[in-house]
Amino acid sequence: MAAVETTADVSHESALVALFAKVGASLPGASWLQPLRAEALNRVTREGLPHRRLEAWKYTDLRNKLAHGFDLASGKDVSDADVLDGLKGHRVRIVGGKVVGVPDDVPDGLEVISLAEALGMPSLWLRQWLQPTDEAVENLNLAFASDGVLVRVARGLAVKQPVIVRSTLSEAAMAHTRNVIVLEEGAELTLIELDDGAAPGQSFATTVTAISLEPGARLRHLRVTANEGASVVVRADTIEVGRDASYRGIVASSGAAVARQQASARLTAPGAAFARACAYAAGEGQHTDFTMRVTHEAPHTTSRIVSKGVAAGSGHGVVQGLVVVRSEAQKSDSHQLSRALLLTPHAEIDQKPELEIYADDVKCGHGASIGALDESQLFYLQQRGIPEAEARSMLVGAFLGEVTERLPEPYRAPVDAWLTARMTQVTAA
Amino acid sequence: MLDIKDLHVAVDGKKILKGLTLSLGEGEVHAIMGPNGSGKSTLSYVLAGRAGYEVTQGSVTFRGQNLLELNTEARAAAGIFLAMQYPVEIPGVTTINFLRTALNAQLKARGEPEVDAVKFLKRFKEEREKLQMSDEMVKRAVNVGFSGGEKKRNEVLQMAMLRPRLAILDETDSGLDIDALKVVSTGVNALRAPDRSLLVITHYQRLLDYIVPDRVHVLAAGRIAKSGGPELARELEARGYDEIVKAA
Repeated sequence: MAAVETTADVSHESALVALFAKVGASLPGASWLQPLRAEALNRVTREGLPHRRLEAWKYTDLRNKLAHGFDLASGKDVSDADVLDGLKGHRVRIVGGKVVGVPDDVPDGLEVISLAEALGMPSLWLRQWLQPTDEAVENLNLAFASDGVLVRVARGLAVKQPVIVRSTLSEAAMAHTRNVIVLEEGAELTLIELDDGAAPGQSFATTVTAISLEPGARLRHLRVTANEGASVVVRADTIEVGRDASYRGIVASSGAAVARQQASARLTAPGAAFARACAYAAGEGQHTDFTMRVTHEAPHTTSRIVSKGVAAGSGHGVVQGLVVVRSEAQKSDSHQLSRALLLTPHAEIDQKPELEIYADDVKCGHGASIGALDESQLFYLQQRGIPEAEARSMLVGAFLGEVTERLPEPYRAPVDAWLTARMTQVTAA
Repeated sequence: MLDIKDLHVAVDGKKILKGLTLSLGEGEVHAIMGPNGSGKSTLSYVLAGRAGYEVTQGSVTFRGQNLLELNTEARAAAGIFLAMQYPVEIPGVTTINFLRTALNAQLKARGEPEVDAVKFLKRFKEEREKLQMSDEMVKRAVNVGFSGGEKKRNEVLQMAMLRPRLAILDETDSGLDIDALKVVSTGVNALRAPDRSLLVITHYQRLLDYIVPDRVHVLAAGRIAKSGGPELARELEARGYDEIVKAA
């Protein structure tokens, strides 16, 4: 066996190996899953946790952001009412990586069950979603995933109320969950996710979500990552969009020490469409990262990426969008736009749109801008009597509002209220 | 109401106003006329408290207060309103929301209770209709997609809602056709009151046919070069600024 080069300091990874030796056997799953977990962890230790020499992690050194050694969360919950409290829907509650509540009154054709429960059944179809990959966070997550939610919408069913999944981590520990969302042919669903919690020390959460949209299926997706304090939260989505199916997502982050939302989308058949809009407010000590990779694998496929964000204090915002158009994906149509405001001199924004095009008849564009607040707008508001701090937060809110205005009510109001509260904190810093 | 004494103002180190003295009484309407570059807009910005306008000498007293000590929003709350020459577009903020926030901020700064939402909307509708502005216009973002005339109407609408003690109209006539000029002037005249003074800054006499001033001042080379009654405006229109500028 060839020698594998690793980073000299392997304490992070060896702590994970030690933890796995201790708890691996007690993780849920049929016997077939254990070797897959071991292999996934093996890949993590071989390659190391993500660091900046990897292009997809160029601006987010996850390895350095993690303290050595975590225990798995026990599942205690100290959080209060959530920011999406008023919304009606089929609610799933995950605490410390364990599903503690699933809806029992779902319509025929909608299945919402816990992964741990599903793993206790001989469900072969799950296997394809639980394989080691070449992505470190996905592998780490597979090794330690304690639970998650499976949502399956039967062919042709348009689910009226949203499925709302709230995942809370309020312990200085780590939690890994894995979700699988399958919309069968022509099915429609609104999926809302809320990540929250503030731990008394550093916490680390990963969630890997596999989304499969069969022909003609439509998923509307809203995710608010609202963790606070020393939380490190990583979201990794893999999205497969089939013929004439569409994925439309709005994702927002603010509050955590590190919040990364990564997505890898494949448009596998003609008519497939992907759209994701990102909003972030990164204040003192906060790092937000949106990294997206969209692959157009078939002709007549569409993708849109929009991001708007602000950074203040030592806040750091990262947006990376890589669009790959394969040679067979003629007539693809892709656009991405990243705009950001730097509110203070030491804040940092990195925007990296990339295009890799192998087809010759496509429409692909991108734009990016970073600026400060407009002094003449600020003067105008102040001249009418609006105090400077309020004027700043109005302008920032209006800037980010271009993302949330894509949300229909009743979803927009609570998201706007949360963002406004976050921005007031961020801009006051 | 407003007393400006020997005011010197520099912008980026360049002296623009060089000893301007002007006194405006309660309820009076004064016009400031002058050629381009004479310092008209500088005067309006320095009164409103815009950053970058450095007062190097002189004083400005507004209703017994040292105006230069107040920040921009405090001046607005004290009753100073600037109708801008180039009103700014603010995407994502609707006119109605903007105005309500501004009005309540001013009331709060003056220690008065916030305005009742129903009364505010009623008054807003009345003022909007006087200025022939559609409901759809004010539901849009502030000045976004407005024509030059619509922007100026929106300035007068804000003035009507905020009811300032001193309104400075900076080239409100620029970019207006004759119909829009009439609507805007009617709106401004409706706001003339014994407790409200107006400082009308303009390059042309035309506006002063509609908003008739008590006094006319000619600003040249950073100071008031000549003052007179309304007839001075017509004289300037006939003979131009050259003579006065040369004398200054």
